[in-house]
Amino acid sequence: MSAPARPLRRRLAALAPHLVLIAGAAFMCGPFVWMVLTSLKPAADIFSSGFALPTALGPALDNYHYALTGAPLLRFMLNGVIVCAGILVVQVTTAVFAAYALAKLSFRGRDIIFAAILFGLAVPTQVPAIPIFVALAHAGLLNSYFALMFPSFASFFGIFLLRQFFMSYPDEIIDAARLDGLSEFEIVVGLLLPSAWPAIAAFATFSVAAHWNDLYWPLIVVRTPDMGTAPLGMMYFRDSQLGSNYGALMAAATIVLAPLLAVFLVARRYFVQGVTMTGLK
Amino acid sequence: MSAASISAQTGAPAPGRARAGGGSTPYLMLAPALFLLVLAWFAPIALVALMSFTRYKLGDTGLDFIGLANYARAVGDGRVVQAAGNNLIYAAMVVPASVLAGLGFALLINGRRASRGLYEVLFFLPVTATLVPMSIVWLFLLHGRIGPINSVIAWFGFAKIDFFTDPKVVLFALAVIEIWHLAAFATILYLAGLTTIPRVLYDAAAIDGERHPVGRFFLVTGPMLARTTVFVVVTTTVTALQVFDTVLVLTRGGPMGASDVMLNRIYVEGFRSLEMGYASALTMLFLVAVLVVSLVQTRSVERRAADR
Amino acid sequence: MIKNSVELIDVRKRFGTTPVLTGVSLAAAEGELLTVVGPSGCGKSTLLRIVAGLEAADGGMVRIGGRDVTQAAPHARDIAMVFQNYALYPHLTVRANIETPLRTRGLPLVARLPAVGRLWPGLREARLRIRGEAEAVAAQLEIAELLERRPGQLSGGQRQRVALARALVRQPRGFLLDEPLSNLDAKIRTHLRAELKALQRALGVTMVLVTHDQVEAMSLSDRIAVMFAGRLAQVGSPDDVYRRPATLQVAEFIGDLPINRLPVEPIGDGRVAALGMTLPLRIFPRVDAATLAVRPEHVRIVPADRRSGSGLAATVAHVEALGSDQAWHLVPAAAPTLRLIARQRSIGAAAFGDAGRPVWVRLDPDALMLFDEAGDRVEFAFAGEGEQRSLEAVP
Repeated sequence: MSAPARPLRRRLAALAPHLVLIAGAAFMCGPFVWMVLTSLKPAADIFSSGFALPTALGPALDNYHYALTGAPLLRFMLNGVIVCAGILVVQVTTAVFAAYALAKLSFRGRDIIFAAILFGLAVPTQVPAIPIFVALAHAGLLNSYFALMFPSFASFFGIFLLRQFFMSYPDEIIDAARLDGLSEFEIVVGLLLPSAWPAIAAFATFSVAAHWNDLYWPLIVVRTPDMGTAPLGMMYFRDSQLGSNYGALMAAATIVLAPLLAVFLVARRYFVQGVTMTGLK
Repeated sequence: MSAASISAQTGAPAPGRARAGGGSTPYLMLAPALFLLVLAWFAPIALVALMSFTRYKLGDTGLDFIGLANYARAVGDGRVVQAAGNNLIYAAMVVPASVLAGLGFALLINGRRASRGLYEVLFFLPVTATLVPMSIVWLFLLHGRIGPINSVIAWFGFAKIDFFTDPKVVLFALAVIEIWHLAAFATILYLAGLTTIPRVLYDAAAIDGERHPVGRFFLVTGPMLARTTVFVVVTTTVTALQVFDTVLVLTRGGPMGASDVMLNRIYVEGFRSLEMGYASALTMLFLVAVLVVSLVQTRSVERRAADR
Repeated sequence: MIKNSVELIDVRKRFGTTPVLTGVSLAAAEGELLTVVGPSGCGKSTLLRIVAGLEAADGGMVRIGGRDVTQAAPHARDIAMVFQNYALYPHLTVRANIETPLRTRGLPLVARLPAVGRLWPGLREARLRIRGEAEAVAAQLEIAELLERRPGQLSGGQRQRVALARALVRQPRGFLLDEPLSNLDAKIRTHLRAELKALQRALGVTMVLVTHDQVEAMSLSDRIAVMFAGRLAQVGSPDDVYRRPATLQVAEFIGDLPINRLPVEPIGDGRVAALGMTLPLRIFPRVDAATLAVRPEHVRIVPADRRSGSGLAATVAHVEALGSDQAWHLVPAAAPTLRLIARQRSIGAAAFGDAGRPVWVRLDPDALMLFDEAGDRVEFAFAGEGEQRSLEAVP
């Protein structure tokens, strides 16, 4: 390279990426920080003290107390756990076998079925809502765990993701198992399922996130407060008398956001892997 | 590859993929998933299509077919037109901003060595956020009187902005929340995509004389990110079109429909007014729009990538 | 002579605390094909990358065409590189791949951008010239009909030619090739090896090639540099390296069959003993313990019942078929824990091929090599002349 660049310009150029990233990170984290800070402050301070830290512990405890008692938040979160777990179990058990059949077996109609799966991937989840609601209403099954879980029992994405994963599983191992006399079902349960942990973990993070965060379907299907899920709970909270108590509101938000945040931070690697397995290849 | 080679070597019919199905096994394996898919997806989609031609209200005993009347009504329904328009404006704001911001942040983070891990975590946080509680946080942040953003605006000498009650600004305020959420998502996706680019291509570019970072981007980085870009653009667009949570929690479609969106229309018509026939027609319109947009985007980005 | 040479002077490099190159000095003269060969991990690729400017050395100097380029960026060094996996731009046609080095130098940045660049006014002459040069090089390498294809549609050998074309098109002072043939099938490799050599000869270009395949190095190079653990063990012609290896490591590395090593002990009077044979050697300088090495092609075997002259007794462990040759694995009677390998033209197995059969082994005295404890080669002479030069077995 020819003449040395002017030191000031060079240093600014090197600094620029950092500045942009710090600004970006501030944008990304700012709301969380604000939320937690506000949840720890008394009402009077909230509107005046900006980003300053809280001074006493009392108001913080009050806020969280209101949050936990103003609406049954813990009950909502428990419902969320039950619903997400139930959905995930059914999704994985049905998807594993279907994905194996699509990936490793040949049969008439395989291509059509796979095309249907691809089509289904593009359909938004809110589209089937009306008829399913009507059917559940007629069956008297509204406002139940079953109603909350049913539409999500089958997952196009789960079948697709696991199929991609199984496609890369070595045929030789499967052939060897067949020669040993194992049935196809035993092959799935004994060989592929144990090896598919990364894909299943990736899918699980997607599934749990999507269903924990879902508002549309629970909004439609839940009729009494005891069956609400976390997002619904937040809505009730906001519509209730505590709707203007921002300290308590932020405390509630913190409580609701914390579990998923913790899970995601641990499972971040799986989430990224799952995304890589589908969209980028 | 192995099945074919086995059959080539032994002359026997190959096990594995080439085998003409283990009789009923594949169908048995598919049955549970397919059954549930039909029950929860394919049948309902067909029913929605069917119901869109009827006047069904919850509680009716039969289906009263009225042809295309629902669709005609939708096209003439001012609120539906406004909602559809809002969806488009909203997507037009959210998608380019999120995708470009995501790409930019990813490129910058990818260049860091020491701080990379930290930024990866920080930029991942919005992706984890449940939108309903997060909307309430943003409600406070952007509050017309007591929000900190407005405090900063006032400090600069401008008038405070009523983000959620001013019809001219409300869609923009909702878009900011979505961009916050989706730009982080795009950043993570692009970061993953960047790791798939072989380092050696940059070596070749250096030897070939490409010394500008911009030139390097167009020679190596950009083209190698083509598949990632398709994925990011399509998922961002579909997510933007499905906006609902923020609208319901923060504005209920107001003020005066300025932030109304299709899913909100469907919800209100179908589950508040219980006019399910009409809501089904709206749902079909919504579905077709999403499918068309996904298809067009997938084709056009892939075609552009193949041209170069 | 200086004009197109590529030189490294006392280059040092470490990754973290691990030293990778410790003071390497090497020079490739104009028009020479110099190969750096060594086992994986010896630092040869790092060396090449330092010459290219893709890595910075911690110490030492790189000179190309007599000019110090140690601080220069890769594009300013006037060298071209062919990578192990060819590193062709997968989204560009073959033509666009080959044109890239010319475009970066002949067109401004804006004109190189996709879509927008095509609209940039002027520069028609530059574009036509670039096109013409690319086509000329493609014709030279016989890939003209592939110009509109993409790398993903080409075979390994075709990709290699495209990579070469991309390197050639700029007519740089030096070519660097990093394991250019390693990813190809054996047959294609042999064929392309010859082509590469012919091309280099015809164009008279300076090439520095890095490989772990010593067969490749031996057949291609004007000179070979053998490298172990970040240090050059020997630099010389293929013949030098083969017949007069500087160290035992070099002797073992070069040659496709494992070299035979016999431990040797002095037994006074300048004589040494190995495997029950006494060798009337006079060693310069005197060493206490040493290794005698002889290549399998210089070990001759005759049936035990037809023994004549001097040699040693052995039994056959097994015979390896190598096509026109065979490798005979033998167990010396005097040292049953050792193995000797003899290479000779294929003969019928019936002759004396069964395991356990006794044979008589003779070593070619002219091909013996002696190495001291440190592994360096030691000069020696036979005491006496004529018949006494033969190797005798201790009765």
